[in-house]
Amino acid sequence: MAEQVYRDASRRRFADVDLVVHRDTLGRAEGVLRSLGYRLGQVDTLLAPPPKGPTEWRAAEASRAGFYERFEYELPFDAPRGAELLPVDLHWHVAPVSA
Amino acid sequence: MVCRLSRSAVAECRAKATRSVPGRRLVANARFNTMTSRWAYACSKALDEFLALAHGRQRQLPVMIVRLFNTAGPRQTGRLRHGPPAVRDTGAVRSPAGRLRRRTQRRCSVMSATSSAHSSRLIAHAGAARPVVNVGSEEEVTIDALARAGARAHPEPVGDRADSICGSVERGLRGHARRVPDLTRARALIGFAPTTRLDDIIMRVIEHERAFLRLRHNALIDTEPSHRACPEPSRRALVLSLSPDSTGFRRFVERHASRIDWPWVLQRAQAHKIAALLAARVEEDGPIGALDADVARRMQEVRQEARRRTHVAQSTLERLARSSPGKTSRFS
Repeated sequence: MAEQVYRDASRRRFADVDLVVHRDTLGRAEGVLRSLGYRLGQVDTLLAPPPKGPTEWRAAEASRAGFYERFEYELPFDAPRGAELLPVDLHWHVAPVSA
Repeated sequence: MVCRLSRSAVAECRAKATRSVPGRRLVANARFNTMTSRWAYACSKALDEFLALAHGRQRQLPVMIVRLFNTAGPRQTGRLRHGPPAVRDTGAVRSPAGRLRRRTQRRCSVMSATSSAHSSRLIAHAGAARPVVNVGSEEEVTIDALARAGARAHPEPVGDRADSICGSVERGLRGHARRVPDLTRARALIGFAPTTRLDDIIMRVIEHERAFLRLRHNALIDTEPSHRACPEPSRRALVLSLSPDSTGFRRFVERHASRIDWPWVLQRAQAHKIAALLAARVEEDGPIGALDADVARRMQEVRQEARRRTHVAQSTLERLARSSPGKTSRFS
């Protein structure tokens, strides 16, 4: 879209990368992101108190992913620290279905 | 409003419904079951008619109900447009009414000016024994054919127009496969006959939209900015920097560069997340050399950061493509 609309992609501000996948392939796409070091974003900022330790973190991630898949249209993934990669929003829809 | 008007000395009460079929069944069946699932829009149309007829009876006013079928034409606004107005030349098909579900569904569009003119003539027949008259066209077209007609009239690709027109149909509600008005009464009462064919309606909508966009764009460039409104030249420069046609920005900046508050423009562009585009425009078409040194440096920093992030975005997509077996990146 950046190329089609802006002709030169650098005219557009990139804060993250939005990827749209079929809902059935969400798990596979998530696997690819995790293999590159991506982690589900905003887990610690939305939950209070924030999860502590890997076990709590995994439970919080699962709970958050479940919430997003039920009510939202994307899963936000943070890029691994130090890597030259942008965060990725994994979409199965472009907007909330109820919108 | 109808009630308020009709309480005065006006001796007639007219209600217009933009469609007929959804309401007709409700009006015809006085014992209709309110638990039957119906589309809220259809119910609202039926209620309009109930209200007009009931009010007419209570106040002993003559009533004429004109059911307009799929009106279309220039200057239509809002979300209730469908058919030709949805097949526009702007490239961004604005949210169509979305009542039309399948590509094979057939609809008839009538020119809005025609329907308005004839509706007024029908008022003379208010109080007739059957006060419901359809106004529309009998020129049927499928959604697919409508999309093709739009594409013929303006060949620039704008995505799948048929899908755009099919739009957001509400779930669980069935659209009618055909909606063709019975114009017998309108013909008998006023000799009604639609005069504008669908192709002409589409062309008129497109002409109007093009002229309107030109007018708005040129007004931004050519109208003398007001001296009293301090940020106006700056605001216009900001808006023009967003236009796909960069000549407007160049022309405006050439004429008014000294009156533009560039720090303000840059700050607003950053707030709206369009600084990368502004900086590119300034670099390509604007007076980067004539800017204050500090502003010029900040513009260049924005441009460099945008290029860097584009490179990172490209790397991200390539990494994802490489990690996804059997897939290749389309970002190059």
